[in-house]
Amino acid sequence: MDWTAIWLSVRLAASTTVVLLAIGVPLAYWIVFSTRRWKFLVEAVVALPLVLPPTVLGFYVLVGMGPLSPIGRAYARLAGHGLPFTFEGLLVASVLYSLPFAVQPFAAEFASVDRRLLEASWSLGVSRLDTFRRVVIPLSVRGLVTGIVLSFAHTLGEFGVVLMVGGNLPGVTRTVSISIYDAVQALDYAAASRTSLLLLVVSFVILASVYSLQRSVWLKPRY
Amino acid sequence: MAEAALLSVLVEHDFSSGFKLDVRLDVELRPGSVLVLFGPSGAGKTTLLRQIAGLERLDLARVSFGQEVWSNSVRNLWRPPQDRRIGLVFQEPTLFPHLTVRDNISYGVRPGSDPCLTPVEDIANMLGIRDLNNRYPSALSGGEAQRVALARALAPRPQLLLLDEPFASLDAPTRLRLRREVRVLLQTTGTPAILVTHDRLEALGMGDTVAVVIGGRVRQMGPAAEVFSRPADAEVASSLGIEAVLPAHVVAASGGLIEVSVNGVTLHVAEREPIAAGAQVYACVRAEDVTIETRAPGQASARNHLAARVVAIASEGPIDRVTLDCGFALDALITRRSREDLGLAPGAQVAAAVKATSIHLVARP
Repeated sequence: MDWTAIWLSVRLAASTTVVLLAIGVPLAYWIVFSTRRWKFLVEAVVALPLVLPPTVLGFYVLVGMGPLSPIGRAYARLAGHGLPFTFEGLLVASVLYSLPFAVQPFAAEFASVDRRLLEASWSLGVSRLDTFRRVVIPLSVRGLVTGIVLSFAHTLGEFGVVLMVGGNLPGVTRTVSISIYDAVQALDYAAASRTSLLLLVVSFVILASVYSLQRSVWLKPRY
Repeated sequence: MAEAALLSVLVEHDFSSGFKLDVRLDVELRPGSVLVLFGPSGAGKTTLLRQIAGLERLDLARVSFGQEVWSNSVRNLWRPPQDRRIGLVFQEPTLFPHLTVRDNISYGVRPGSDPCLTPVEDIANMLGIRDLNNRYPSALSGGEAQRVALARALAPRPQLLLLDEPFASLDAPTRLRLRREVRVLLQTTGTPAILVTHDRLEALGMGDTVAVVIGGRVRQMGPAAEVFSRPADAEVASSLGIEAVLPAHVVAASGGLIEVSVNGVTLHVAEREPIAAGAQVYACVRAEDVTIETRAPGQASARNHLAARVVAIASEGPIDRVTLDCGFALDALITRRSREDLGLAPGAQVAAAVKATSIHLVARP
Protein backbone atom coordinates (compact mmCIF):
# COMPACT_ATOMS: atom_id res chain seq x y z
CA MET A 1 0.00 0.00 0.00
CA ASP A 2 1.17 3.53 -0.74
CA TRP A 3 1.71 4.70 2.85
CA THR A 4 3.36 7.95 1.72
CA ALA A 5 0.19 8.89 -0.12
CA ILE A 6 -2.03 7.88 2.81
CA TRP A 7 0.04 9.89 5.27
CA LEU A 8 -0.04 12.89 2.91
CA SER A 9 -3.83 12.67 2.59
CA VAL A 10 -4.26 12.50 6.37
CA ARG A 11 -1.95 15.50 6.83
CA LEU A 12 -3.80 17.46 4.15
CA ALA A 13 -7.23 16.59 5.60
CA ALA A 14 -6.15 17.50 9.14
CA SER A 15 -4.60 20.83 8.07
CA THR A 16 -7.64 21.69 5.95
CA THR A 17 -9.95 20.94 8.88
CA VAL A 18 -7.96 23.16 11.23
CA VAL A 19 -7.99 26.04 8.73
CA LEU A 20 -11.70 25.54 8.08
CA LEU A 21 -12.47 25.63 11.78
CA ALA A 22 -10.56 28.91 12.07
CA ILE A 23 -12.28 30.64 9.15
CA GLY A 24 -15.55 28.66 9.06
CA VAL A 25 -16.74 29.58 12.55
CA PRO A 26 -16.47 33.38 12.05
CA LEU A 27 -17.92 33.04 8.53
CA ALA A 28 -20.89 30.99 9.78
CA TYR A 29 -21.40 33.47 12.62
CA TRP A 30 -21.49 36.32 10.12
CA ILE A 31 -23.92 34.48 7.83
CA VAL A 32 -26.30 33.75 10.71
CA PHE A 33 -26.19 37.04 12.62
CA SER A 34 -25.46 39.69 9.98
CA THR A 35 -28.35 41.87 8.89
CA ARG A 36 -26.73 42.83 5.56
CA ARG A 37 -29.04 42.53 2.61
CA TRP A 38 -26.45 41.02 0.29
CA LYS A 39 -25.44 38.21 2.61
CA PHE A 40 -27.26 35.72 0.35
CA LEU A 41 -24.44 36.34 -2.17
CA VAL A 42 -21.88 35.16 0.38
CA GLU A 43 -24.02 32.13 1.17
CA ALA A 44 -24.16 31.29 -2.55
CA VAL A 45 -20.39 31.62 -2.95
CA VAL A 46 -19.81 29.36 0.06
CA ALA A 47 -22.13 26.73 -1.44
CA LEU A 48 -20.56 26.86 -4.94
CA PRO A 49 -18.15 23.92 -4.42
CA LEU A 50 -21.19 21.69 -3.87
CA VAL A 51 -22.28 22.08 -7.48
CA LEU A 52 -19.16 23.07 -9.45
CA PRO A 53 -17.10 20.28 -11.08
CA PRO A 54 -13.80 19.99 -9.18
CA THR A 55 -11.99 20.66 -12.47
CA VAL A 56 -13.61 24.09 -12.78
CA LEU A 57 -12.78 25.03 -9.22
CA GLY A 58 -9.28 23.60 -9.64
CA PHE A 59 -8.75 25.51 -12.87
CA TYR A 60 -9.58 28.87 -11.28
CA VAL A 61 -7.49 28.12 -8.21
CA LEU A 62 -4.58 27.13 -10.42
CA VAL A 63 -4.83 30.32 -12.47
CA GLY A 64 -5.38 32.40 -9.32
CA MET A 65 -2.25 30.98 -7.68
CA GLY A 66 -0.09 31.06 -10.80
CA PRO A 67 2.63 33.55 -11.73
CA LEU A 68 0.16 35.50 -13.90
CA SER A 69 -2.01 36.56 -10.93
CA PRO A 70 -1.04 39.22 -8.34
CA ILE A 71 -1.77 36.80 -5.49
CA GLY A 72 0.48 34.14 -7.00
CA ARG A 73 3.29 36.65 -7.60
CA ALA A 74 3.02 38.08 -4.06
CA TYR A 75 3.19 34.59 -2.56
CA ALA A 76 6.14 33.64 -4.73
CA ARG A 77 8.03 36.75 -3.64
CA LEU A 78 7.38 36.02 0.05
CA ALA A 79 7.91 32.24 0.06
CA GLY A 80 10.55 31.95 -2.60
CA HIS A 81 8.48 29.50 -4.67
CA GLY A 82 5.05 29.43 -6.31
CA LEU A 83 1.87 27.86 -4.88
CA PRO A 84 0.90 25.37 -7.61
CA PHE A 85 2.24 21.84 -7.24
CA THR A 86 3.10 22.35 -3.53
CA PHE A 87 1.45 21.14 -0.31
CA GLU A 88 0.46 24.76 0.58
CA GLY A 89 -1.23 25.20 -2.79
CA LEU A 90 -3.11 21.96 -2.24
CA LEU A 91 -4.17 23.21 1.19
CA VAL A 92 -5.60 26.44 -0.26
CA ALA A 93 -7.55 24.50 -2.87
CA SER A 94 -8.84 21.97 -0.32
CA VAL A 95 -10.03 24.70 2.03
CA LEU A 96 -12.04 26.31 -0.76
CA TYR A 97 -13.35 22.96 -1.96
CA SER A 98 -14.53 21.81 1.50
CA LEU A 99 -15.80 25.21 2.69
CA PRO A 100 -19.54 24.36 2.53
CA PHE A 101 -19.00 21.09 4.38
CA ALA A 102 -17.79 23.07 7.40
CA VAL A 103 -19.73 26.34 7.14
CA GLN A 104 -23.19 24.89 6.48
CA PRO A 105 -23.37 22.58 9.54
CA PHE A 106 -21.87 25.35 11.69
CA ALA A 107 -24.38 27.93 10.47
CA ALA A 108 -27.36 25.58 10.78
CA GLU A 109 -26.49 24.85 14.41
CA PHE A 110 -25.83 28.50 15.30
CA ALA A 111 -29.17 29.47 13.79
CA SER A 112 -31.00 26.84 15.83
CA VAL A 113 -29.98 28.41 19.16
CA ASP A 114 -33.05 30.05 20.75
CA ARG A 115 -32.79 33.78 20.08
CA ARG A 116 -34.23 34.61 23.49
CA LEU A 117 -31.17 33.01 25.10
CA LEU A 118 -29.03 35.54 23.24
CA GLU A 119 -31.29 38.40 24.28
CA ALA A 120 -31.20 37.22 27.89
CA SER A 121 -27.41 37.19 27.72
CA TRP A 122 -27.20 40.67 26.18
CA SER A 123 -29.55 42.09 28.79
CA LEU A 124 -27.25 40.64 31.46
CA GLY A 125 -24.50 42.91 30.16
CA VAL A 126 -22.59 40.28 28.17
CA SER A 127 -21.26 41.46 24.79
CA ARG A 128 -22.26 39.84 21.51
CA LEU A 129 -18.87 38.18 21.09
CA ASP A 130 -18.85 36.84 24.66
CA THR A 131 -22.44 35.66 24.23
CA PHE A 132 -21.30 33.73 21.15
CA ARG A 133 -18.45 32.20 23.13
CA ARG A 134 -20.42 31.43 26.30
CA VAL A 135 -23.81 30.44 24.88
CA VAL A 136 -23.81 29.77 21.12
CA ILE A 137 -20.62 27.70 20.89
CA PRO A 138 -21.42 25.38 23.84
CA LEU A 139 -24.92 24.79 22.45
CA SER A 140 -23.52 24.08 18.95
CA VAL A 141 -21.09 21.28 19.79
CA ARG A 142 -22.86 18.75 17.58
CA GLY A 143 -22.90 21.05 14.55
CA LEU A 144 -19.23 21.88 15.07
CA VAL A 145 -18.23 18.22 15.30
CA THR A 146 -20.34 17.36 12.25
CA GLY A 147 -18.67 20.16 10.24
CA ILE A 148 -15.19 19.11 11.33
CA VAL A 149 -15.72 15.44 10.53
CA LEU A 150 -17.34 16.13 7.17
CA SER A 151 -14.58 18.48 6.02
CA PHE A 152 -11.96 15.94 7.09
CA ALA A 153 -13.69 13.11 5.23
CA HIS A 154 -14.39 15.22 2.18
CA THR A 155 -10.75 16.34 1.89
CA LEU A 156 -9.53 12.79 2.38
CA GLY A 157 -11.39 11.67 -0.72
CA GLU A 158 -10.89 14.61 -3.09
CA PHE A 159 -9.44 13.95 -6.52
CA GLY A 160 -10.20 16.44 -9.26
CA VAL A 161 -9.03 19.57 -7.49
CA VAL A 162 -5.81 17.88 -6.35
CA LEU A 163 -5.08 16.73 -9.86
CA MET A 164 -5.61 20.22 -11.27
CA VAL A 165 -3.67 22.14 -8.63
CA GLY A 166 -1.18 19.66 -7.21
CA GLY A 167 -0.33 17.29 -9.97
CA ASN A 168 1.22 14.01 -8.91
CA LEU A 169 4.45 14.50 -6.92
CA PRO A 170 5.11 11.64 -4.47
CA GLY A 171 5.16 12.86 -0.85
CA VAL A 172 4.19 16.36 -1.89
CA THR A 173 0.91 16.23 -3.79
CA ARG A 174 0.20 12.58 -4.54
CA THR A 175 -2.82 11.86 -2.29
CA VAL A 176 -4.59 8.53 -1.76
CA SER A 177 -7.13 8.99 -4.52
CA ILE A 178 -4.40 9.84 -7.05
CA SER A 179 -2.34 6.92 -5.91
CA ILE A 180 -5.33 4.64 -6.64
CA TYR A 181 -5.74 6.22 -10.06
CA ASP A 182 -2.04 5.65 -10.75
CA ALA A 183 -2.27 2.05 -9.63
CA VAL A 184 -5.17 1.42 -12.01
CA GLN A 185 -3.32 3.14 -14.87
CA ALA A 186 -0.40 0.82 -14.17
CA LEU A 187 -2.83 -2.16 -14.14
CA ASP A 188 -1.80 -2.88 -10.51
CA TYR A 189 -5.35 -3.84 -9.47
CA ALA A 190 -4.22 -5.48 -6.24
CA ALA A 191 -2.71 -2.23 -4.91
CA ALA A 192 -5.71 -0.21 -6.12
CA SER A 193 -8.19 -2.48 -4.37
CA ARG A 194 -6.23 -2.47 -1.09
CA THR A 195 -6.11 1.31 -0.96
CA SER A 196 -9.68 1.66 -2.18
CA LEU A 197 -10.93 -0.69 0.52
CA LEU A 198 -9.05 1.29 3.15
CA LEU A 199 -10.58 4.56 1.93
CA LEU A 200 -14.05 2.98 1.80
CA VAL A 201 -13.83 1.64 5.35
CA VAL A 202 -12.44 4.87 6.77
CA SER A 203 -15.10 6.96 5.03
CA PHE A 204 -17.86 4.66 6.23
CA VAL A 205 -16.63 4.75 9.82
CA ILE A 206 -16.41 8.54 9.74
CA LEU A 207 -19.91 9.00 8.30
CA ALA A 208 -21.41 6.42 10.65
CA SER A 209 -19.92 8.31 13.58
CA VAL A 210 -21.37 11.60 12.30
CA TYR A 211 -24.87 10.14 12.01
CA SER A 212 -24.69 8.41 15.38
CA LEU A 213 -23.56 11.72 16.84
CA GLN A 214 -26.52 13.52 15.31
CA ARG A 215 -28.82 10.97 16.88
CA SER A 216 -26.79 11.43 20.06
CA VAL A 217 -26.30 7.71 20.47
CA TRP A 218 -22.88 8.27 21.98
CA LEU A 219 -22.64 11.91 22.89
CA LYS A 220 -25.72 12.52 25.01
CA PRO A 221 -25.72 16.07 26.37
CA ARG A 222 -26.04 16.42 30.13
CA TYR A 223 -28.87 18.89 29.75
CA MET B 1 -30.49 53.26 44.21
CA ALA B 2 -32.42 55.51 46.55
CA GLU B 3 -34.17 58.03 44.34
CA ALA B 4 -37.05 57.84 41.95
CA ALA B 5 -36.05 57.80 38.28
CA LEU B 6 -38.07 59.20 35.42
CA LEU B 7 -38.71 56.77 32.59
CA SER B 8 -39.53 58.63 29.42
CA VAL B 9 -40.53 56.76 26.27
CA LEU B 10 -41.61 58.07 22.91
CA VAL B 11 -42.06 55.51 20.15
CA GLU B 12 -43.71 55.81 16.75
CA HIS B 13 -43.43 52.94 14.32
CA ASP B 14 -45.49 51.57 11.44
CA PHE B 15 -45.08 47.83 11.23
CA SER B 16 -45.36 46.03 7.90
CA SER B 17 -48.36 44.17 9.34
CA GLY B 18 -50.26 47.48 9.42
CA PHE B 19 -49.97 47.73 13.20
CA LYS B 20 -48.97 51.17 14.41
CA LEU B 21 -47.21 51.75 17.72
CA ASP B 22 -47.59 55.28 18.99
CA VAL B 23 -46.60 55.58 22.63
CA ARG B 24 -45.75 58.52 24.82
CA LEU B 25 -45.02 57.52 28.37
CA ASP B 26 -43.49 59.56 31.19
CA VAL B 27 -43.55 57.88 34.54
CA GLU B 28 -41.71 58.29 37.80
CA LEU B 29 -40.39 54.92 39.02
CA ARG B 30 -39.65 54.79 42.73
CA PRO B 31 -37.29 52.10 44.07
CA GLY B 32 -39.23 48.86 44.44
CA SER B 33 -42.32 50.16 42.63
CA VAL B 34 -43.99 48.41 39.71
CA LEU B 35 -45.37 49.92 36.51
CA VAL B 36 -47.85 47.57 34.87
CA LEU B 37 -48.37 47.61 31.11
CA PHE B 38 -51.84 46.17 30.90
CA GLY B 39 -53.84 45.36 27.81
CA PRO B 40 -55.20 42.68 25.51
CA SER B 41 -52.74 40.51 23.58
CA GLY B 42 -51.47 42.13 20.39
CA ALA B 43 -51.80 45.61 21.87
CA GLY B 44 -48.06 46.30 21.60
CA LYS B 45 -47.08 45.79 25.25
CA THR B 46 -44.22 43.40 24.52
CA THR B 47 -42.96 45.51 21.61
CA LEU B 48 -42.86 48.48 23.94
CA LEU B 49 -40.97 46.48 26.56
CA ARG B 50 -38.44 45.29 23.96
CA GLN B 51 -37.95 48.89 22.94
CA ILE B 52 -37.14 49.82 26.53
CA ALA B 53 -34.80 46.82 26.77
CA GLY B 54 -33.00 47.87 23.58
CA LEU B 55 -33.66 44.62 21.72
CA GLU B 56 -35.15 46.32 18.67
CA ARG B 57 -34.47 49.54 16.83
CA LEU B 58 -37.54 51.29 15.47
CA ASP B 59 -38.03 54.28 13.13
CA LEU B 60 -38.70 56.94 15.69
CA ALA B 61 -37.82 56.21 19.26
CA ARG B 62 -36.59 58.13 22.24
CA VAL B 63 -36.06 56.33 25.53
CA SER B 64 -34.43 57.76 28.61
CA PHE B 65 -34.18 56.51 32.16
CA GLY B 66 -33.08 58.79 34.98
CA GLN B 67 -30.07 60.72 33.76
CA GLU B 68 -29.31 58.23 30.96
CA VAL B 69 -30.43 58.56 27.35
CA TRP B 70 -30.94 55.01 26.09
CA SER B 71 -31.95 55.80 22.55
CA ASN B 72 -32.71 58.77 20.39
CA SER B 73 -33.34 58.02 16.74
CA VAL B 74 -33.22 61.70 15.77
CA ARG B 75 -29.72 62.15 17.17
CA ASN B 76 -28.85 58.59 16.07
CA LEU B 77 -28.06 57.63 19.65
CA TRP B 78 -28.28 53.99 20.64
CA ARG B 79 -27.24 52.34 23.84
CA PRO B 80 -27.16 48.54 23.37
CA PRO B 81 -28.98 46.36 25.93
CA GLN B 82 -25.62 45.46 27.48
CA ASP B 83 -25.12 49.04 28.67
CA ARG B 84 -28.63 49.67 30.03
CA ARG B 85 -28.21 47.66 33.26
CA ILE B 86 -31.59 46.01 32.99
CA GLY B 87 -32.92 42.65 34.06
CA LEU B 88 -35.16 40.76 31.66
CA VAL B 89 -37.55 37.90 32.39
CA PHE B 90 -39.60 36.28 29.64
CA GLN B 91 -42.84 34.30 29.83
CA GLU B 92 -40.85 31.08 29.39
CA PRO B 93 -37.87 30.73 31.74
CA THR B 94 -35.24 30.63 28.89
CA LEU B 95 -32.38 29.47 31.10
CA PHE B 96 -29.03 28.55 29.55
CA PRO B 97 -29.52 24.77 29.21
CA HIS B 98 -25.81 23.95 29.34
CA LEU B 99 -25.22 25.71 32.66
CA THR B 100 -26.17 24.69 36.19
CA VAL B 101 -28.58 26.77 38.25
CA ARG B 102 -25.65 28.40 40.05
CA ASP B 103 -23.87 29.29 36.80
CA ASN B 104 -27.12 30.59 35.33
CA ILE B 105 -27.67 32.92 38.29
CA SER B 106 -24.13 34.25 38.33
CA TYR B 107 -23.92 34.49 34.50
CA GLY B 108 -24.24 38.28 34.38
CA VAL B 109 -22.35 39.06 37.59
CA ARG B 110 -18.96 40.62 36.93
CA PRO B 111 -16.21 39.47 39.27
CA GLY B 112 -15.24 42.19 41.72
CA SER B 113 -18.63 43.94 41.73
CA ASP B 114 -19.74 46.01 44.73
CA PRO B 115 -19.84 43.73 47.82
CA CYS B 116 -22.27 46.05 49.67
CA LEU B 117 -25.11 45.06 47.35
CA THR B 118 -27.42 42.15 48.11
CA PRO B 119 -25.26 39.08 47.45
CA VAL B 120 -26.30 36.51 44.88
CA GLU B 121 -26.84 33.93 47.67
CA ASP B 122 -29.36 36.21 49.39
CA ILE B 123 -31.42 36.57 46.23
CA ALA B 124 -31.33 32.81 45.72
CA ASN B 125 -32.36 32.36 49.38
CA MET B 126 -35.27 34.77 49.11
CA LEU B 127 -36.55 32.90 46.07
CA GLY B 128 -36.07 29.55 47.85
CA ILE B 129 -33.83 28.04 45.17
CA ARG B 130 -30.55 27.63 47.04
CA ASP B 131 -30.89 23.85 47.10
CA LEU B 132 -31.12 23.71 43.32
CA ASN B 133 -27.61 25.09 42.74
CA ASN B 134 -26.12 22.06 41.01
CA ARG B 135 -29.10 21.08 38.89
CA TYR B 136 -29.45 21.65 35.18
CA PRO B 137 -32.48 23.58 33.90
CA SER B 138 -34.01 20.46 32.31
CA ALA B 139 -34.41 19.02 35.83
CA LEU B 140 -36.47 21.98 37.13
CA SER B 141 -40.22 22.47 37.36
CA GLY B 142 -41.76 25.48 35.62
CA GLY B 143 -42.01 27.44 38.86
CA GLU B 144 -38.43 26.62 39.89
CA ALA B 145 -37.09 27.57 36.46
CA GLN B 146 -38.89 30.91 36.53
CA ARG B 147 -37.47 31.58 40.01
CA VAL B 148 -33.98 30.92 38.67
CA ALA B 149 -34.68 33.25 35.72
CA LEU B 150 -35.73 35.96 38.19
CA ALA B 151 -32.63 35.40 40.32
CA ARG B 152 -30.45 35.53 37.21
CA ALA B 153 -32.00 38.85 36.15
CA LEU B 154 -31.63 40.38 39.63
CA ALA B 155 -28.15 39.07 40.46
CA PRO B 156 -26.17 41.75 38.54
CA ARG B 157 -28.23 44.41 40.38
CA PRO B 158 -30.10 45.96 37.45
CA GLN B 159 -31.40 49.50 37.75
CA LEU B 160 -34.68 48.39 36.13
CA LEU B 161 -36.32 44.97 35.91
CA LEU B 162 -38.43 44.16 32.83
CA LEU B 163 -40.97 41.36 33.25
CA ASP B 164 -42.81 40.07 30.17
CA GLU B 165 -45.78 38.04 31.51
CA PRO B 166 -43.40 36.07 33.76
CA PHE B 167 -46.17 34.28 35.64
CA ALA B 168 -48.43 33.44 32.69
CA SER B 169 -47.15 29.92 32.07
CA LEU B 170 -47.29 28.85 35.73
CA ASP B 171 -50.07 26.98 37.52
CA ALA B 172 -52.37 29.10 39.69
CA PRO B 173 -50.99 28.40 43.21
CA THR B 174 -47.38 28.86 42.04
CA ARG B 175 -48.36 32.05 40.23
CA LEU B 176 -49.94 33.58 43.34
CA ARG B 177 -46.99 32.65 45.56
CA LEU B 178 -44.39 33.90 43.10
CA ARG B 179 -46.20 37.22 42.62
CA ARG B 180 -46.01 37.88 46.35
CA GLU B 181 -42.36 36.88 46.50
CA VAL B 182 -41.44 39.11 43.59
CA ARG B 183 -43.11 42.11 45.29
CA VAL B 184 -41.06 41.49 48.42
CA LEU B 185 -37.89 40.95 46.43
CA LEU B 186 -38.33 44.22 44.53
CA GLN B 187 -38.91 46.09 47.80
CA THR B 188 -35.89 44.48 49.47
CA THR B 189 -33.54 45.16 46.59
CA GLY B 190 -35.09 48.55 45.82
CA THR B 191 -35.42 47.64 42.14
CA PRO B 192 -38.18 49.31 40.12
CA ALA B 193 -39.90 47.07 37.59
CA ILE B 194 -42.09 47.15 34.51
CA LEU B 195 -44.52 44.25 34.26
CA VAL B 196 -46.38 43.30 31.09
CA THR B 197 -49.59 41.41 31.75
CA HIS B 198 -53.12 40.84 30.45
CA ASP B 199 -54.28 39.43 33.80
CA ARG B 200 -56.34 42.06 35.63
CA LEU B 201 -55.85 40.53 39.08
CA GLU B 202 -52.12 40.53 38.47
CA ALA B 203 -52.22 44.17 37.37
CA LEU B 204 -54.12 45.08 40.56
CA GLY B 205 -52.02 42.93 42.86
CA MET B 206 -48.62 43.94 41.46
CA GLY B 207 -48.98 47.42 40.03
CA ASP B 208 -48.41 50.72 41.78
CA THR B 209 -49.09 52.44 38.48
CA VAL B 210 -51.05 50.90 35.63
CA ALA B 211 -50.77 51.97 31.99
CA VAL B 212 -53.53 50.58 29.79
CA VAL B 213 -52.19 49.77 26.31
CA ILE B 214 -54.74 49.22 23.55
CA GLY B 215 -54.04 49.23 19.80
CA GLY B 216 -50.47 50.43 20.18
CA ARG B 217 -51.33 53.43 22.35
CA VAL B 218 -51.31 54.16 26.08
CA ARG B 219 -54.97 54.95 26.68
CA GLN B 220 -54.90 55.62 30.38
CA MET B 221 -52.34 55.71 33.13
CA GLY B 222 -52.60 56.20 36.88
CA PRO B 223 -52.69 54.47 40.26
CA ALA B 224 -54.02 50.92 39.89
CA ALA B 225 -57.24 51.39 41.88
CA GLU B 226 -58.08 54.60 40.05
CA VAL B 227 -57.56 53.15 36.57
CA PHE B 228 -59.71 50.11 37.36
CA SER B 229 -62.44 52.09 39.10
CA ARG B 230 -62.61 54.97 36.66
CA PRO B 231 -61.77 53.81 33.13
CA ALA B 232 -61.22 56.78 30.81
CA ASP B 233 -63.59 55.53 28.11
CA ALA B 234 -65.72 52.58 27.06
CA GLU B 235 -62.91 50.76 25.24
CA VAL B 236 -60.62 50.95 28.25
CA ALA B 237 -63.50 49.88 30.47
CA SER B 238 -64.25 46.81 28.37
CA SER B 239 -60.61 45.73 28.40
CA LEU B 240 -60.42 46.18 32.16
CA GLY B 241 -63.78 44.62 32.96
CA ILE B 242 -66.38 46.87 34.53
CA GLU B 243 -65.82 46.59 38.20
CA ALA B 244 -65.62 48.71 41.32
CA VAL B 245 -62.20 48.47 42.94
CA LEU B 246 -62.55 49.54 46.56
CA PRO B 247 -59.53 50.04 48.84
CA ALA B 248 -60.37 48.12 52.04
CA HIS B 249 -58.80 46.52 55.05
CA VAL B 250 -59.59 43.18 56.63
CA VAL B 251 -61.34 43.52 60.02
CA ALA B 252 -61.87 39.88 60.88
CA ALA B 253 -61.81 36.45 59.28
CA SER B 254 -63.68 33.46 60.67
CA GLY B 255 -65.82 30.55 59.54
CA GLY B 256 -64.99 31.00 55.87
CA LEU B 257 -66.29 34.56 55.93
CA ILE B 258 -64.07 37.63 55.82
CA GLU B 259 -65.22 40.96 57.15
CA VAL B 260 -63.68 43.98 55.41
CA SER B 261 -64.20 47.66 55.96
CA VAL B 262 -64.56 50.03 53.01
CA ASN B 263 -64.68 53.67 54.09
CA GLY B 264 -66.27 52.56 57.41
CA VAL B 265 -68.86 50.37 55.68
CA THR B 266 -68.62 46.65 56.44
CA LEU B 267 -68.73 44.05 53.68
CA HIS B 268 -68.81 40.27 54.08
CA VAL B 269 -66.73 38.29 51.64
CA ALA B 270 -66.50 34.55 51.08
CA GLU B 271 -63.01 33.28 51.85
CA ARG B 272 -61.11 31.94 48.80
CA GLU B 273 -57.61 32.01 50.18
CA PRO B 274 -56.48 32.61 53.77
CA ILE B 275 -56.03 36.28 54.53
CA ALA B 276 -55.05 37.82 57.89
CA ALA B 277 -56.96 40.49 59.79
CA GLY B 278 -55.40 43.90 59.24
CA ALA B 279 -54.33 43.15 55.65
CA GLN B 280 -54.74 45.91 53.07
CA VAL B 281 -56.79 44.71 50.12
CA TYR B 282 -58.89 45.78 47.16
CA ALA B 283 -62.50 44.61 47.24
CA CYS B 284 -63.65 44.13 43.63
CA VAL B 285 -67.35 44.14 42.77
CA ARG B 286 -68.75 43.76 39.24
CA ALA B 287 -71.65 46.07 38.46
CA GLU B 288 -73.75 43.14 37.15
CA ASP B 289 -73.44 41.45 40.57
CA VAL B 290 -75.07 44.36 42.40
CA THR B 291 -78.86 44.19 42.79
CA ILE B 292 -81.11 46.99 43.99
CA GLU B 293 -83.91 46.56 46.53
CA THR B 294 -86.48 49.18 47.52
CA ARG B 295 -88.14 47.34 50.45
CA ALA B 296 -86.34 45.47 53.19
CA PRO B 297 -86.39 41.84 51.97
CA GLY B 298 -87.35 38.94 54.23
CA GLN B 299 -84.75 36.22 54.12
CA ALA B 300 -82.41 36.54 51.14
CA SER B 301 -79.13 34.74 50.50
CA ALA B 302 -77.10 37.89 49.77
CA ARG B 303 -74.90 38.64 52.80
CA ASN B 304 -74.54 42.34 52.11
CA HIS B 305 -77.41 44.79 52.16
CA LEU B 306 -76.11 48.33 52.07
CA ALA B 307 -78.17 51.47 52.59
CA ALA B 308 -77.63 53.53 49.45
CA ARG B 309 -78.76 56.63 47.62
CA VAL B 310 -79.20 56.74 43.85
CA VAL B 311 -76.75 59.30 42.49
CA ALA B 312 -77.23 58.97 38.75
CA ILE B 313 -78.81 56.75 36.12
CA ALA B 314 -77.28 56.32 32.67
CA SER B 315 -78.90 54.35 29.91
CA GLU B 316 -76.76 51.78 28.03
CA GLY B 317 -79.35 50.43 25.59
CA PRO B 318 -81.71 47.99 27.32
CA ILE B 319 -79.45 48.09 30.39
CA ASP B 320 -79.28 50.99 32.82
CA ARG B 321 -76.21 51.81 34.86
CA VAL B 322 -77.27 53.04 38.29
CA THR B 323 -74.59 54.80 40.29
CA LEU B 324 -75.12 54.42 44.04
CA ASP B 325 -73.58 56.09 47.05
CA CYS B 326 -73.27 53.58 49.91
CA GLY B 327 -70.52 55.46 51.70
CA PHE B 328 -68.44 54.69 48.60
CA ALA B 329 -69.40 54.76 44.94
CA LEU B 330 -70.84 51.53 43.54
CA ASP B 331 -72.41 50.87 40.13
CA ALA B 332 -75.28 48.47 39.50
CA LEU B 333 -76.34 47.20 36.08
CA ILE B 334 -80.07 46.53 35.87
CA THR B 335 -82.56 46.22 33.02
CA ARG B 336 -84.61 49.25 32.08
CA ARG B 337 -87.78 47.27 32.96
CA SER B 338 -86.55 46.69 36.52
CA ARG B 339 -85.63 50.32 36.86
CA GLU B 340 -89.12 51.35 35.72
CA ASP B 341 -90.84 48.75 37.98
CA LEU B 342 -88.85 49.98 40.99
CA GLY B 343 -89.50 53.61 40.01
CA LEU B 344 -85.86 54.54 40.55
CA ALA B 345 -84.80 58.16 40.22
CA PRO B 346 -81.79 60.12 41.40
CA GLY B 347 -82.06 60.84 45.13
CA ALA B 348 -84.09 57.68 45.95
CA GLN B 349 -83.13 55.73 49.08
CA VAL B 350 -82.60 52.03 48.30
CA ALA B 351 -80.61 49.02 49.44
CA ALA B 352 -77.76 47.53 47.40
CA ALA B 353 -77.43 43.77 47.73
CA VAL B 354 -74.19 41.92 46.95
CA LYS B 355 -73.53 38.23 47.56
CA ALA B 356 -70.44 37.44 49.61
CA THR B 357 -69.25 35.18 46.78
CA SER B 358 -69.45 38.04 44.25
CA ILE B 359 -66.79 40.09 45.99
CA HIS B 360 -63.15 39.35 45.16
CA LEU B 361 -60.31 40.41 47.40
CA VAL B 362 -56.90 41.23 45.95
CA ALA B 363 -53.94 41.95 48.21
CA ARG B 364 -52.84 45.56 47.80
CA PRO B 365 -49.19 46.15 46.84
